[in-house]
Parts: sequence; C-alpha cells; structure tokens
Amino acid sequence: MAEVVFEHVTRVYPGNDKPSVDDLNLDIKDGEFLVLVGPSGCGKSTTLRMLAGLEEVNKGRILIGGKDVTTMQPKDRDIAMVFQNYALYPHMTVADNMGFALKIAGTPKAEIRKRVEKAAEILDLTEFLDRKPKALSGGQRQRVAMGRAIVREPKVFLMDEPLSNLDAKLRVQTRTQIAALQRQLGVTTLYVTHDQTEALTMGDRIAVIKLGILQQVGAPTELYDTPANVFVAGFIGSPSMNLNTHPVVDGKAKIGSDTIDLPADIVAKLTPEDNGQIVIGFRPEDAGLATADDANAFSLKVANVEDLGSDGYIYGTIITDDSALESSATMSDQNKLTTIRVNPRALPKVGETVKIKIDPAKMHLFSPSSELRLN
Amino acid sequence: MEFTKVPVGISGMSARTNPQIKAIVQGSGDDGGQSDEEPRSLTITAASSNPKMFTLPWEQPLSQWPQELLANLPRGISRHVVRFVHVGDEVYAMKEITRGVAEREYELLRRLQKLDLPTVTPIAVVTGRHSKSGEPLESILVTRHLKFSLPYRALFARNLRPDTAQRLIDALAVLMVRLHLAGFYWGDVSLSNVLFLRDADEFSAFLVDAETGDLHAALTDGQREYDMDLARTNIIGELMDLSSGKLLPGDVDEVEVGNGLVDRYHSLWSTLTDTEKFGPDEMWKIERRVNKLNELGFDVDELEMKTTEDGNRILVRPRVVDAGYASRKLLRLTGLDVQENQARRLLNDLDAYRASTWQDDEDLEIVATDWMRVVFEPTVRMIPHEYRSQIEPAQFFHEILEHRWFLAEKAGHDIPMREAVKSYIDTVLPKYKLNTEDVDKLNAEADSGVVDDESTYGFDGYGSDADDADDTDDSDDSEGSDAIDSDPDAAVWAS
Repeated sequence: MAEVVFEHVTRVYPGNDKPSVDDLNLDIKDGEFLVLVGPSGCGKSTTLRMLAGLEEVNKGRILIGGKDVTTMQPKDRDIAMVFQNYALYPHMTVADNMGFALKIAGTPKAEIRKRVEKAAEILDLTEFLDRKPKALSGGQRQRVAMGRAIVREPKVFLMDEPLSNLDAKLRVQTRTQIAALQRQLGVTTLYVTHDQTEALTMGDRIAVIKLGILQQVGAPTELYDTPANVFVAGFIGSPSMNLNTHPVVDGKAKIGSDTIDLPADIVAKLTPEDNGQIVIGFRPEDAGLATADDANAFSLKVANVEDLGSDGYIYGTIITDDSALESSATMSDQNKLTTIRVNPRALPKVGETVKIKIDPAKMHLFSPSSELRLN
Repeated sequence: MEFTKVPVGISGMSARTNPQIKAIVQGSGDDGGQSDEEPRSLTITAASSNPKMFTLPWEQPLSQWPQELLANLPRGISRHVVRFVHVGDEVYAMKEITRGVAEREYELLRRLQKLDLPTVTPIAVVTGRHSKSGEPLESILVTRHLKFSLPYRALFARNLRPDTAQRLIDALAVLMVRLHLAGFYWGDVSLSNVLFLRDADEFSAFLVDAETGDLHAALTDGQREYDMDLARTNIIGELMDLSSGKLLPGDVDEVEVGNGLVDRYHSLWSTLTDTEKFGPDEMWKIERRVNKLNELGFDVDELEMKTTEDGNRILVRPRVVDAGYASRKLLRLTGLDVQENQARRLLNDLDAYRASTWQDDEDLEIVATDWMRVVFEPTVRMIPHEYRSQIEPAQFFHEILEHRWFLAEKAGHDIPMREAVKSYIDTVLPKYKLNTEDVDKLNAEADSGVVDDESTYGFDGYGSDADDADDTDDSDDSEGSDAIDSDPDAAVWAS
C-alpha cells in the first residue's frame, strides 16, 4: 500500500514573502493516477519536488505508505522520477538497458530477469529483449526508457511534464501509453502538467492549483461539470467556459438588454460585497440558437464562425443597448468572445445578430466577490 | 509556408526584406521575451548576430540537412537529433527539440554563462520552422561547438591511458561542485551530457545539456544528493555500456568508478564549504585552509569568521569560492586563456624559466612577456597544420614538457626543446587523430537512442530489421506522417 498524504504542507522559498505552496492538504490513494494541474508558477512542480525530497518542507508533513518522509533523502523514499531523458546505451541489449540500475543496486540476477521480462511484456518489448536499441523504432526506444523506471517497482511514480520534450505526434501517442501503463501497473502516480487536456484525459483525479493554493480536487467530470470557483471553471475545458459578470435585476440576470431567470435560492446567496452582480458561466456546448421570441435568451453579434464538419462554433459579442458589451466585463479567453457550439449546418453569418439560450441545468453561477460557486 | 533563402548580409536580417523571417537579437542584459504562441514564421532569437544563420535550410528536418553543411565531429548519445553545422567560420551544435524546451534551455544556458560556469555557449533558438509544404517542424537550439572538446565515447574509442575513466570522473566531480555551489540543479547528470577538454594531465568537464536543469538561489541537500545519485547510476550505466562494447579496459570496475565520483564530490564539497573550528592562537590554520583551496583550483573571495559564544574558538567557513585560481593568474600575466591544470603547468614552467634566466628580482609580468616570446610561442608554432584543430596550444605545450622529461630520463641528460617537439610530433601526436571511420561509427551509435518521429518513423517499418536502422537519420521521410498514423506501436496500448 502506498498512499501519499500531504498534511498542511507549506513551502516558502528563501527571500520570498509568499509561500509557493500554501497549507496543502492532499491525499493520493494507493494506485491512483493524480494529475496536478495549473498555470506556470502555481506551485505544482514545487509540490512534486517536495514529495521527491528535492525541496524542503517548511511546515507540515508528507507521508508515503503511512511513513513520514518529510526529511528523508530522495533515494530512501522509494520513488521513481520518470522520464529523466533516459539515454539508451547502444552496446547494451534492451534487457540490460532496462535492468542495469537493478544490477547496480545489487538485485539478484534472477530477480532482475523476472522484473525485466514482466516490464517487457507490459511494454510489448519481449521479442526485442536481446537486441540492441539500434534495432528499435522511436516508439519502442521510448518504451525502453519507461521500462527503466518500471523495473524499479517503486512505491510512487513522479512525472513532471514528461511529454514536454516530445514533438506533437509522439506527445499524443505517449499520453495514451502512460495512462494505460499506469493502470496496468497500479502504481500510485503524481503527474504534473500545465496542460488541462492532459489532465482531463489521463487522471483518475485532478487537483487544480493556483498561486500555491489548492483550488479543487476531483474526477475529471466532476471538475468539468461542477467547478468550485471561477478559476477552475475557466481553466478546465477546451474551448473554455464562457464567463461573464452581469447585473442582477429583480432576481434576474441582465445580459445586454435581455434578462435570464435565476433560481431564487441562488440569488438569495448573493451578499452586499457582490454589488448586485453575478458571474454566469456556461460551456460552449451548453447553449444553442433560440428563436427571436424565446424568453430567457440573449442577443449575440456574430464576430466569427468556424465549421469543423462535426461541430460548428459561433464567436460573438453580447449586445447591450444595441452596442457590443464592453470586453472588459468578460472573463473568458478566446479573445474575450462568447463561444457557442452549434450544428454546423445551422451556422449564422458573420455580422448577424442571433438569440442564444443557455441550458438552465448546465448554468454555472458564481459570486463575483468570493468567486466561489453558488449552485 | 514557404521559406525563401535570404542573401547573406546584414540587410538580409531586415523583416522588411523577407516578412517571414524575424530576427531578435538580444542585448547582454536582456533575458529575452517568450510568448506562449508558436511563431508562424521563422524566428531566430540570438545573443549575437551571425547573418549566415539565415542561409541555413531551416525548412528541412535537421536529420536531412545536406552533408556539405555538416562538420564531421563525434557526437554524444542523445534522445534528440543533433548535428554539428558549419556556419561561416564557426561550428555550431544544433539540437532539434520542442519550442518550450529549446527556449527554456537557451535562457538557462545564458544565465549559467553570466555566472561564469563551464558550459557551452548558447547562440540562438530557432522557432516557427515549417517544411516547404507548411508542416510545422520542431525548434532548434543552437550552441557554439566547444573547440578541441570530445564526448567521452570518443575518448574511449582510442587507446588511451587505463585511468581515463577515473580522470573523467574527477573532472565531472569538479564540474558538479561548481554547478551546485552556483545553485544549479541538473536533474540529468551523465557523461553523455558533458564535453571534455584535455587539461594537462587531467580533463576539464563542460555542461552541454541543461534541458532538465534549474537555477536556484541555493540548493537543498536533497537536490544535491539526488543529482549525485542519478549521476552515479547514469555513469555506471555508461561505463557498463562501454564495457559491453569492449571499449573499457578489462580491469575497470564500473560500480567502483561510479561510487568514486560520489566520494570525490563529497570530499571536494566539504573542503569548500565546511566550517572549521580552532583557537585564537591558531590563525595560521586560516592560511592553510586558503592554500588548500588554491591547490584545488579555487579562489576564496569571502571568508566568514565567527567566534563561538564563549569566545574561545573561531569558526571559519569559506563563503564565496571561485574556480580558476591558476587560470586567472596566467590570463593576467600572459593573456592566455587556458584550463586550470594547463595554467598551473604553464605557471610552473614560467617559474622555472625565471630561475634559469637569473631573473628572480624581475617583476613576474616582465618575465612572463619574455617567456611567451622565447619559450611558449616558438613551441606552439610548431604544431603541424593538420593538428591545429585537434590540440589546444596550451595542451600541446604541456605534452611537449612531459615528453621532454620522458626523453631526458631515458637519455640521462637534458633534451633541447626543438628535438623534443620533433620527437613528440612524430611519435605521440598521431595518436590524437580520430579518423572519419571512427567518427561515423561513434555517430551511428549515438543516433541509436534518438527518439524522433521524423528520423525514426520516416523509414518504412519499425525496426524489425536491424540493418535498416542504420539509415534511420538519412531516410526520406516524405511518408512520415502516414507512418505514424498507422504506427503499430499505438495499437499496443489500445487494448
């Protein structure tokens, strides 16, 4: 059993006022693939390095398999950092390339062979075990490097942006491989990335971190369907969620010159700090074209359209008093335009004004002051 | 997106001349800007401008660059495609990697350079590359080839002294201590990521690959220990590989050499950083400590001295140490910029010259000028032309002195310099030459670990035929993207 536990873990770099990781509490279950995701400088790599023993922990403690490792040297923690640009040695066979580190550690020969054969089977390299790297394809070479980490049979795998030095084609392929491999091996894994697509496609659970503070931990669908705050809402998902702040008038949200019904219990949760406003978020696929007389719809001036064959996208600006809404009031990216996914056969023309209706069940409502989820 | 070659000349750098080329030449104080967007047109971010950079075939994958552009120099093992390229009078090392990694490594190498650490010199990052048909290509990191340097495999390819492995390890330990003192965590220490320069009887090691590195204000013990642990594993692996290839003398114990690195590192680290404790009447011990550091090639810029609470003992710890004690002294006296041990050797010869010419009362600066004119320069001018790119003048001089001593011992009397040089050129120097065949063999080996779909997936098949793999890098990859789509490797994971 190798559960990993961060207990109130804080890291302050010398000379900094603010912690790079602040009071982190996080459990990675035995055998779980946890992806730590966030923008650059958010503290995700620091978290991984604290677990590896490469960074000091200023406050709190870290446990691996119930054992306090907070002050333990990296090599005594039984962890493996995967993909350190492992070199392949040309004169050594694939089996030796995978197993030589065990030989150094004094593992008996029979045990080495057993572990190497097991890893080779998982990596589909069995028939190449006695051959040299020269005889392998790029993908196979990549897998030999993975084998070098696997045969150690560590308690925990640590992966820090392992795909960053692969080109686009190999990256997608290797992403699938790592996820499949981890599930076969069942080794507890902490995987760090800035790429939310990697996080969504690979992790059993995702932990989103921003400025050293953990924002939300949950299964990919959980984070996608019920983001806990505005940051997670905007960070997870591609194309990202449309997020705008709107005035609340008579219990309804005013979007441009239109109004949209809001649940009364949510409106009741707004505080004076919210200044009579609410943040409404909806994913591009959770809204659609409406008719001119539809209630609960708002007007959008079409700035651009995209036909991807299977999907169509409308990018537009919200109309307010017959003019486009100030872009400063919007919080989503995509050049601050509102994005709607529609049937590509029903794409409007650029310059047209269309009515958009949000699926009320899929609306995400946040407090503007605390940025926390209200529904 | 088609890229047109720009005529050589500064005018070719203007974005107006060719709107698809952007040149960003950075000032020395500028850390350079990075954006998240992949540039649409070829962008060269460089520390200095070399107009010839614009004449290179950036629109081709590096593995397919024409032979006439390439310098046939031995390469180390790498996961990426690496080539040495003639650019004007210089030779640049080009490495094809993803944009983020290239930009990061470029900036990191620049910062290490500013700290005066022994690393290769970063020249440029080339991003926004596209093939003629508009397919995006990986970025290229450009560094200057370190003249006279060799990867460790090239050193073992020739019959060298049996203690070569040990001397490489010693050089690497010094490099590790210097990098760690400066706050650099490497994350991937290995002989493959280092280049070696001969340095009198020793070697000097230079960092060539900083992909996984990080610069911190100071390193934690965990970072240092992990770096050394990884270094140990990688080096033992590299030596085991040489041993499998029958390139390592039979009596070398790989594990012992690897452990030796860690021991040597620790002893050097503690000499440089430990706090010493002694009584107020033992101040001479400070001098002894400083002398010991000088002997190891380090200057002490700052000493921290504290008394214990009871006031009976003094605690001394070097705070700032700088490598290159002898080489800085030689540089000041002669203008020669050489490695530390070479400098020590040359300084010794300078001292000997001063004594033998009865100039003990003369300023060392003046004697040094004489020594350069009368001893050093005439000797190094005798390096045969074909060896001038293979041996550094200071190394040549050192080896002549060694050879002269060896001849004198055999003859039982002094040997004139000219005679020693001639004998050395006839009998020793030829051993330095690495022939084309050796280089080709080394480079084929180095390429057998490359993980790159352009060069690896480009050929038809997936390595089931070992003979095909030799041509990996030269193969036509016009089918490259199709090959990956139908990659049988991918199917392994689908189930």
